Amino acid sequence: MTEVAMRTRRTTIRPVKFGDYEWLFDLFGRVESSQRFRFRGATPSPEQFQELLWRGVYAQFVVEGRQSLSRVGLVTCFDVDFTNQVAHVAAAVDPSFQRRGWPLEGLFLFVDYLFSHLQLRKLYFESPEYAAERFRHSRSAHRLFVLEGMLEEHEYFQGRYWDVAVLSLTRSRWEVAGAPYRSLWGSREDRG
Amino acid sequence: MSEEVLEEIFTALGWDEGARREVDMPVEDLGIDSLDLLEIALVLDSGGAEIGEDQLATTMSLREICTIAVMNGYGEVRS
Repeated sequence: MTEVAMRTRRTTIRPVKFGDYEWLFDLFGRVESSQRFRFRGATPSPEQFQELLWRGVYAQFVVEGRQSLSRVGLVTCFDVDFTNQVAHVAAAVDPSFQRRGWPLEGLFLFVDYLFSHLQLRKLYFESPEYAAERFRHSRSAHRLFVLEGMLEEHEYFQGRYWDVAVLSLTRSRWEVAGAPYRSLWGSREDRG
Repeated sequence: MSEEVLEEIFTALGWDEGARREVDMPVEDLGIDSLDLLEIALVLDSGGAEIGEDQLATTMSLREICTIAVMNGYGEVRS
């Protein structure tokens, strides 16, 4: 059986605990993170929040920094379609840890976890235009993702409608393009 | 600044000659996003540097990134 790493050099992914809800509620209450994640600006009550956080979810992990032991984000797999072997993935990074790069190790560790545990062939990611624009110029993004389509003027935010890019990452693409990531995910004893 | 580190970063990211001159500009001004920065971290990791959580950011310049890499052991150990 293939061993699945739950740690990278700088991150750990672990299941959500009861003690995480207050932090998650605060995280999704911030405009930027809620806009880019599944709630799209909604502000559910604390009671509704827990239910919404798990609606349609198949797997969900908190990403932590191994050095700081800080919670840096949440990665989620939802709307799994086993008939067609596809699923959606979302990630939220705490604003204080954005633009550092390394928290994304947790996202790709999660991707590897999903392809290791589930018979999926393709994962979908949605990205509002303001983020997708960067993707277009990013060679790193092009190596991993395929731009499947653009939902034109799909999302309302800060006074205007934004396009939303639908990106995909296939199992076969991950097996090749993900190799550099996997090769640096810590020593054998680091693996969960 | 280590030219070797710089060259490996440029190669990994596929940057052209024009970008190579902008070593003192924040990398986010060069269009580098978090995903690119993660790739830079992996390049540095594979070169033997131990890059910590607070040592990379898109607000840093290439010169700063290369300096951090060398300070953290880049080139001393090859994995």
